[in-house]
Amino acid sequence: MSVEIVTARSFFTRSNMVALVLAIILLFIFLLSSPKAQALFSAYAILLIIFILIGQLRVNRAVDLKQLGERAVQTLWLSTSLGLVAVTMPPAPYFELSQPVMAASIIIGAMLVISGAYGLLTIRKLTGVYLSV
Amino acid sequence: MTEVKDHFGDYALTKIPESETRTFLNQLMIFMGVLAVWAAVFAGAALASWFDAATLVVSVVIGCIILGVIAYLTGYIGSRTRASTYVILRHSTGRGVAMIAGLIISGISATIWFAYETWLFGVIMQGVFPDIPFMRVEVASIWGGLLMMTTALIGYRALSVLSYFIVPAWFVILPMALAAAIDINGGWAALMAAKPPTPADIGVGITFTVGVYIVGATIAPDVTRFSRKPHDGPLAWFIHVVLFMPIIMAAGGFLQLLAPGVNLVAAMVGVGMVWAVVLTGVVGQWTTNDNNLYSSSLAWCNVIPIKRAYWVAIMGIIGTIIAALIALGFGVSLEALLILGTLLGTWIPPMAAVMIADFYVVKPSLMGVKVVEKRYDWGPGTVYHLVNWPAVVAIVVGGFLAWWIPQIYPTVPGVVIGFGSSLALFIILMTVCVKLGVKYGIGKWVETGKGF
Repeated sequence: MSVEIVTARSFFTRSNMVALVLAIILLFIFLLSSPKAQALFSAYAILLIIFILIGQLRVNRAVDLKQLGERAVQTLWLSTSLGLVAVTMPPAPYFELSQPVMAASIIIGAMLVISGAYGLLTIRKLTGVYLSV
Repeated sequence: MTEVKDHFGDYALTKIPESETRTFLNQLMIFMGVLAVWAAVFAGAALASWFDAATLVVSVVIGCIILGVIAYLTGYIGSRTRASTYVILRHSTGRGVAMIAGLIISGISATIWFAYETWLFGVIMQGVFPDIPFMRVEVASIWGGLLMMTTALIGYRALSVLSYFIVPAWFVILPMALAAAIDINGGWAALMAAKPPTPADIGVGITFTVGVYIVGATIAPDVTRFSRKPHDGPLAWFIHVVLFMPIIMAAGGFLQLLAPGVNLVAAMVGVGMVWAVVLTGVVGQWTTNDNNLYSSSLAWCNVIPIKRAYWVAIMGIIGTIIAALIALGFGVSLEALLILGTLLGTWIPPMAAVMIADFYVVKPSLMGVKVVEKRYDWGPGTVYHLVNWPAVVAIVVGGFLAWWIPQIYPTVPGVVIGFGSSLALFIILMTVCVKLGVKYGIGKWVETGKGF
């Protein structure tokens, strides 16, 4: 296995693990939130966790640098985009989220977006694949 | 098709090289980006005046399956030939007719959609921020239209990046917003008990659903030509329309049934989802409208060969001006969408039918070109007919029947009639011509070195 593949896979795994931890924290705080938010936001967080885990499996099975790069970019796009949900939805009064939960959700969502964007740019540099794979 | 240099940008008139092909997920995101638009939600709201919740879902699902099948067939032509819709039409309709058909399908229609959705963008912005002058419908239409031009100017890569960024979030936000809107308007029990004000037959709903997105099904090759594997793009189209379009249209329809006159945007603002509306309104409209402009520019390149980016700028500015004029004169209405959807649904399926019949039936069965890769040859020096008269007859007759028959038998889905009759008529006419030795092509056009 080439050095490039090992480096890229290792970087992606670190990025993805960060996203996974953030998603698990989101799930945890939403499980403890208001009844109106609990089901919807928990489902969202579980979806995010599933995408992250599937992405990790796909990248682990990649056979060359291009395939690894494409799968990594796709996974990172999903977690980046879904981070936007945690930023934009909790402030709605309908969900009756407490201030700390709302603030935590927005901060974690923003971290998902920022770390995702950083991961995308780095993977693009390491593997040479387009961001529009 | 011989690979020739790309003179017009984004391979508008030439074959997509292998290095530029994209994955299944990329194509799925692009298509879902087209679908991720408030106009589709509002179209679903229009259905609520005819159907209860269950019938609404059934009519939308049937309409979406019809769309999925049509687009799978057109999309597969694109992924095998790696050419745009308008270049593909050169063989089935003739070079001259391909120009006119391309303008009807995308050159003009997609620009009208661009203008409509740019205006809708202005409406949403004013609805969210009613007190800010910069967000007034006419002002937001102008800056929104110019904003949406940017990714279309860059091309397919920019469309992909924007879709990847917004589409997953859009399709999580919408069901959450719908669940909240249903909850505050009486819940699921009230939804199931709600009755439409003017019940109609299910065929009307199917026709309407197909009409809403038939242009997208017809121009699927504009995106599937980038497909890495032949079935990636067509399958992505089928999945996005059958799984996700019913969710979007049901979202609009359900809320309309529960609270007539209240659209989902207003409901979301009402429960405080302001930033979600801004996100889905701004970027959601953007991912759809840049595709409209992108396809329009490809169609215009097939008529007047200048750089694709110039066409994006020209049609984008025209569309933006139209949007601003609508904002100043018309106001908010679902009526415009109904008229547009019905009109497009009537006249465009016959063109898709001719394209499908030529590639899947006429070429292999009548002309003996069994090998898929050899069905369409193009490149510098290729000779086309100027007009393929059976195609013209089939399109005109099919379009007329699609418009006329529902006026006599309202329960018959006109779009399906138009598509089916054009398909059958084209095959019959071509069979007669080929078997009896009747000349079906009029005039000739030799492709230039630049692919024009």
